Amino acid sequence: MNFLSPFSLLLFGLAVPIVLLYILKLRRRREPVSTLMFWDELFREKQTTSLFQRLKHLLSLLLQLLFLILLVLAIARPQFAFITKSARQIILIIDHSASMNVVTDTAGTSRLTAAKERALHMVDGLRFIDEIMVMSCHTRPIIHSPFTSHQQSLRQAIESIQPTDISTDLEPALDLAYAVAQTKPNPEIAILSDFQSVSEKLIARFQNPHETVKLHLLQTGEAGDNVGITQFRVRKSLANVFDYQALLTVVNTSAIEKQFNVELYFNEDLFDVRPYTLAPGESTSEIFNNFAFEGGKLKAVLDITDALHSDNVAYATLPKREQTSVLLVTTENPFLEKALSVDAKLNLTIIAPEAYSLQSQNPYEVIIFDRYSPPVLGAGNYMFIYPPSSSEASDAVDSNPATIWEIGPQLEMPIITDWERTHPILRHVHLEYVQIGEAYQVTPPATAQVLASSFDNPVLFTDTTSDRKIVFAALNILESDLPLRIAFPLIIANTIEWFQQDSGIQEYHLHTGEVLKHVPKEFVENSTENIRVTGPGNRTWEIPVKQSGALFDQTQIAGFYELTLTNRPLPELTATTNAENADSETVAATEVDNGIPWAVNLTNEMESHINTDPAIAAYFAESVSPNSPALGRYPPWVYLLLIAIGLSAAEWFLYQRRRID
Amino acid sequence: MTQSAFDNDFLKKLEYLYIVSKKIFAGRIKAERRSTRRGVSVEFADYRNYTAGDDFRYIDWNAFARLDELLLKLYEEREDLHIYFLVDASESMTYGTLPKLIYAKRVAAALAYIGLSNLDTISITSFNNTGVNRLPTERGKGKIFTVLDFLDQINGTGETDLAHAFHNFVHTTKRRGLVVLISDLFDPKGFTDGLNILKFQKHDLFVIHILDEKETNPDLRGDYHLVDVETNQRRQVTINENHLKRYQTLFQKYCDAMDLYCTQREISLVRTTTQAPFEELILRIFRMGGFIS
Repeated sequence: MNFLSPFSLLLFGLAVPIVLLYILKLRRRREPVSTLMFWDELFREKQTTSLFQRLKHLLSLLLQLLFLILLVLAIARPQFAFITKSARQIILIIDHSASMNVVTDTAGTSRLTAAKERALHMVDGLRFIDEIMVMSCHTRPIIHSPFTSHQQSLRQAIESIQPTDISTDLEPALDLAYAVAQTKPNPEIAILSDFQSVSEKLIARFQNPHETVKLHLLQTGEAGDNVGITQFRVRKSLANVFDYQALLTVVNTSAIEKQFNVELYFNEDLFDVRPYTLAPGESTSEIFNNFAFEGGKLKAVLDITDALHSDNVAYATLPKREQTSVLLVTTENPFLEKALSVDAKLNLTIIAPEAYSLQSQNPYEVIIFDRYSPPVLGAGNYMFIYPPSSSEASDAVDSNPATIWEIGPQLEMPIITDWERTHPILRHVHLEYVQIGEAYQVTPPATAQVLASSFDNPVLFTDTTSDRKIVFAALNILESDLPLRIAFPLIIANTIEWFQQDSGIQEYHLHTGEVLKHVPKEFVENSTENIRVTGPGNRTWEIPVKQSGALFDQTQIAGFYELTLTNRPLPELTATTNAENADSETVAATEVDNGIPWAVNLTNEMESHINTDPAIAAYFAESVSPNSPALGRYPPWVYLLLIAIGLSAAEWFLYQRRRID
Repeated sequence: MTQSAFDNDFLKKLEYLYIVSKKIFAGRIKAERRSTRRGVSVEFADYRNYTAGDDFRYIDWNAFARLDELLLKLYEEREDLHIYFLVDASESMTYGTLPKLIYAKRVAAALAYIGLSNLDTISITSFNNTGVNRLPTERGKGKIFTVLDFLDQINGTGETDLAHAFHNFVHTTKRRGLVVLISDLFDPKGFTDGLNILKFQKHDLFVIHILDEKETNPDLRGDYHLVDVETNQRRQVTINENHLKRYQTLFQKYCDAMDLYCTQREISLVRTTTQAPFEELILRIFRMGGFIS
């Protein structure tokens, strides 16, 4: 036995004055009476108990000394090795994914609330030596509290876990828990979840006998009926470049047939309503067309009351079509200039090859190199028309055009023998009988897609990488009759359209839990710009803008997230007068990305299957809650103190009560 | 004793008590008291034969004329009542918020005043274990101040020894009368021996048992040194609620025994505490009738 506060044992010295006081005794009160006749008679009857009286007084001293001993021991805070060795370290994982928002009971209690209550109950029953680490998880684990036995901190940590619309993945949390558990002598892991989507790999981990950590699977929630949107995607219409298409997939995970309406709202106005009838387990998909060209916010709502509300709504954003900035790098090409200037949606800039630099490409969405190849390519959309072989060296291998393709010798009398008629760039284009005076052989990269070829020699190909899209033409259009054909402006227009086909749509669509990244077009060093994110429920966040972009990871709730750029003056530049101070508080807000909102959706079929995976149900019976035994819940000093108080009460009852009753 | 028993208010109350007592017992209370002795008075009692030496004035000459026999008329002799006040002057009588001795003096003074006003002969004797102190017989209302002076000089000292005190009393008192005993009767040897002595001497006995509230219902809890004010004996006790209940039982038993004793021997007994106004006690005594029975 050790003591946390051994110097407190010096308080045993208080026994000396207690014994002295007992020996000296308290002076009795003197009370004159007219006669002792009755008192004598009274206490003569009690003579037989005098021995007991003496024992009683001795017992009083013993009680007081025992009280002192217990009190001093309590203050010294003893620690017993057998208790300390039995200390447990419980890693408590609370699932707060979307399916934990399911409400199946009549009281309206969600699975997460029930799980938190169960967790709080565990904390209430925690022994003083046990420690709990509180962790929540959806697709990634979040530690809310390190190992502690401080119940108030644990309660606050559990209470701080908020519901999310993020899908479930217990594995990262379990990995982290096992990693943490390795550092502890007697670890246990308790998972509070509905276990509605458990992978086979995870089930195998639950079965793994080699894991030395005791695992408690604590299932929460009951089965219920649910219908959910599992997919809601938009893209530019293939038939009409000015239109969008929306793909909606709905699944019925209930055990009964469900009839409901799907309501489509465009900018909060009801746009379309369609009735659905889905059999148990059935899913259906439908495409919606004819949206406004100006862009806006699209919302699909299932008009049904079911256990999980999160998957009844899905969001999409349709970017407004803006002018496309195009940079043409050429010595002179009147055909190309004319073809590009036809489209009013294009903002064309023409520069000579000598004037081009990597920095000058920044504001342009499409760059066309006519008979010119820059030494270094950045990220972006490029069209190369008959570029020469690049002779300049570059440090970055993948940035040097010469390493992307290999230009060979000239073709003799090339003709276009084959072309991809279904490709967007060659849509409505006929290339037969095109006279080509000058073309060369080129070896495209392995990832390239050949659109037109002269026998086995590619004449037109595309190459798409993660940050770069390239259209390569291996013919000199000035030495062909292509510019004189109707196909030429079509190819140019289709190419510009192809470059922008997917851009501006998918980047504005995220799943809950994914990181929203905004890259500013121009970054100013030491800028005081912040981005204010306004999410569902008008909740706002302020995030700083960095050169790499502004990152926002609080997309936990499905809905629209709007970004505005706020510009605050630098602290040292703020004026000192009150009026100017007031001005300094004003925030200049400008829309980011032309006010296009980000749409964040759950749309996860696994989450819409809200019922517990039957494959794991068998484990619940074997797994019991890691509740602590009632005894030993408090440190020894508490019990010592309670006994001391009990002794004090007994002593008061036996010896002091008569003085005051 | 620093507290005076007889202040101006008390003296006013004396006359008031006398008047009230006269109203209550009008026609019954007289200074005169019939005596069993035959003597000179106006009320005829009996005849007896004339014997030589009898006073001729009491011969019934009418009877002699009719019967030719000398008969002597006998009249009831009227004599003054002797009232003896025995005031307990032991140390225990000084006990109480209002000392019992003061209360006893006031009661004795009130009764003595009424007696003097009725032309009775009174005598006051204070006693303790050391002896008795006696005021010679007095008669007449004007002697009240002598009585008060005597009572005022009584101090509570010594122990209670009823038998010893009454033995002295009866040996110095030849004439029987009404003995009014005012005491707490806390005699360790018991009260019966003393009362028996008085009773055997054919005195009419009237006992006024004076107690203090703290004696009948003590409010003591805890550890005490109880000190007997008479003997200075000490007892170390620890008193709790059960002890107090037991004390009251013992005390009541003591009082019951006293009541039974007095009833069996036709002794009038009135018990009071010093918390009760003494004038009420006086009226209560007269309403009982024992005082003049």
